[in-house]
Amino acid sequence: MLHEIVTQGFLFPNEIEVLWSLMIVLYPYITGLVAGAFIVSSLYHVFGKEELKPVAKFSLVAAFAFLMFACTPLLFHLGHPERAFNIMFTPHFYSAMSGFGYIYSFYLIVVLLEIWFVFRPDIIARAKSSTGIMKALYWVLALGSMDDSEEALHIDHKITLVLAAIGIPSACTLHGYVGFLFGSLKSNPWWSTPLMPVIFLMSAIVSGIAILIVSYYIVMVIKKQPVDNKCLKSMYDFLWGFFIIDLTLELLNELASIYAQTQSYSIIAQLTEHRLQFSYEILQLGICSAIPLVVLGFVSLKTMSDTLRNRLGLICSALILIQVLAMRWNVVVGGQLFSKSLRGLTSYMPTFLGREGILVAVILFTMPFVVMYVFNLILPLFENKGDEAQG
Amino acid sequence: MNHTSHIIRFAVVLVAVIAGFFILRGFLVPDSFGVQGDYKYGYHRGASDAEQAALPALYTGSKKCAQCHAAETAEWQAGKHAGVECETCHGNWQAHNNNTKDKAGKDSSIEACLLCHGEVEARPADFPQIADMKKHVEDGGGAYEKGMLCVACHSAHSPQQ
Amino acid sequence: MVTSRRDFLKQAGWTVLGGGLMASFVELPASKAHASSGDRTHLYAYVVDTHKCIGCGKCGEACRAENKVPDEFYRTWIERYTIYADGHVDVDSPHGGEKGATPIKKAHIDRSFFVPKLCNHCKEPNCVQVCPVGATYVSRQGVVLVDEKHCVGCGYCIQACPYGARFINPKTHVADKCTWCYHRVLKGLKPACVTVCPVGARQFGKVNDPNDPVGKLIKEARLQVLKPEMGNQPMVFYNGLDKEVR
Repeated sequence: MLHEIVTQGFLFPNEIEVLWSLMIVLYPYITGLVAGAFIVSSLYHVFGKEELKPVAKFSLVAAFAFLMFACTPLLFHLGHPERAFNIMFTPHFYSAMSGFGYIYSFYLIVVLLEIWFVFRPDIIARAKSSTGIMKALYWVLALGSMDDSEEALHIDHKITLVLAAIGIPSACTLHGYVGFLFGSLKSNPWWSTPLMPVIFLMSAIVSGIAILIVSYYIVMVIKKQPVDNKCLKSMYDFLWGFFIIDLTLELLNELASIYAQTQSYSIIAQLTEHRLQFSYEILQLGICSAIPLVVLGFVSLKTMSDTLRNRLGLICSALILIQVLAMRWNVVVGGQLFSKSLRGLTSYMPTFLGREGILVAVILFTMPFVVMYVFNLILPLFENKGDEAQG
Repeated sequence: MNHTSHIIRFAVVLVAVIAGFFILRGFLVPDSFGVQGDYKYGYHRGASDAEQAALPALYTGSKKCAQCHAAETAEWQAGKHAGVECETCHGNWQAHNNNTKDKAGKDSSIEACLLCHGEVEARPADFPQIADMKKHVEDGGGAYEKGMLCVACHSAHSPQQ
Repeated sequence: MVTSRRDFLKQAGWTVLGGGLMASFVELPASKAHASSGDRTHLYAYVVDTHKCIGCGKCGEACRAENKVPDEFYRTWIERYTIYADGHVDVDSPHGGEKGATPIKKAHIDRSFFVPKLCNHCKEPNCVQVCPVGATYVSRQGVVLVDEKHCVGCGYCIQACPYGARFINPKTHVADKCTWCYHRVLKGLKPACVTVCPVGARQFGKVNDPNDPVGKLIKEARLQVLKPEMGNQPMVFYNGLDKEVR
């Protein structure tokens, strides 16, 4: 099961083993889903995209669920996870990484607040209708305040709007910032580009929309309810639009590197040819980009039956989820597969078991969905059937 | 009727959590932590410097060796290896001092000499290197025997050429 | 009524937040700093003469013993460069060069030489810049150190170092690197690698001491540093660096 490290050429002796593992691939991936899901919820709450109402609450809770687990891969990777809070206790703000604790916390508070205000009427309604322990739980969730008067809800609505408006730049900051972590490292030619934060942000939005499409569809199938086609169509449109920007930036980055041919170019070319051929050339820039780009174009522009549109949209969303995961892998792992001597390559394959293995990654990635499920048991993520049938 | 009580409650919870964080921080950050010099390069736990400075030194230099091995020291200083520290070949003083019976650092094998004096392309051309032992011995006017050691002709402590 | 309450809340919130942040991060240097530490100076420098190195590996061996460096990781290592007549460049460093070098059985070599490597103890070390928790720092003497009791082991410094000088120590799970034998240097000794170098290829001394051979070399010799384009301003200087060395 253990992967034999294959090296080629010369590496500095401390570079043989890849340090930032699968967990560090997962971290920006989950963080990206947060940003994307939040953008969708904001499109409804701030920009008044009424057709997105069916997923407005769901996307907000999805953002929260992913946010809750965004940091967990880091804990599995840190040499001393028990010291993780040092990043907030003794922040060294010259480090791009040190702000993360604060940006993350700020964003978590914004999302939590927004969820609370959005769900307050539901909490109060359920507090009134339930009994026993559940009543107590709802009472605590409502912080003991049962004020659901017109005036109170009006204030809540205004606050929600403000929070969503704060949330958008926060989401962009959070994820653009993750890109900056890589883009700001001058020592690594594969990472060091000012485009990195923008690419991370765009791919984050894209992946967030895609995961909402896929999970909304699956949830509706499980609930045996009809999907809201208008809502899905709108999400396909946004997905296509953002994906065009995302892919353009990725290709621009690649083109600039090929055209400039700086000292590091020959090793980068070897990297993409020998080590990232499948994940970069075939997945990220090939199959998982070309198909969604073309097919989503048709989905957005051509009239077609709902069934066909949803099938195509679903396939494209799944492909885009793989594309973004591949992109994270190629950035994080790819950047460590070549020597800073620019003379050699190493290799990396995650183990299945183990602290930073595939199993842990799968469990961590599943956890947000468990959170959403539990959340749905306590508070409704979707409106009643009656409201939805209209679409 | 006032309709902001729920907002005040949330604010109280939030402020409590944030205050709790700063209180916890006060307890958990070591006293000596702070900026020493500048924040960019000097922000750290001050006690760390002294802790690292206190680590024991294992390689002590030839003066320590001379305390017990005066004759060898004198011999060494007269020869061409005078610039090479005792510990380069014999290993660190501390290990030897912990167990003086340990003669592991005494190695007169041919490999021990060739580690420095074997012929390798990357070595400086003027550095004495031996490619062919037999040729080397005969060039020097000696009679080569199989398994011959360098110390048969040269003193390891004090080679003259 | 409603607005005034909100205004009050807003103000209270900002006061607590702002006050807390101020007290914690801005005031902290004043209240907790050891002002007596004084300003940082780069007292020391290290000079490697590639013309002298014979690639015996004694330095690496001594470093490992002196600093209890775990197997398969290196605080210092020796690279061998071989440039063939056809322009092909071969670099190797088996076991970090610690076990010595074997001859190459190929002809047509244009030039070949050894290059010892170690932490450059840069004046502008970006490994220190990127540490999120203040666990790696430049000491008063200009030595780049890691506080193994505070490091979280995130590995950002390792990614940031352009020289591959850092690694995660598998025993302590924190970042580890050459300290120029800080514990020896402050006792007036030389770093272990310098002590055992039989040919004087590794030298260590004080920058501003005209009587120090290293101080003199830095003033008078035409020395180079590794990857100067990184802007890190290394304090390890090289004599006879080839264009192929990175």
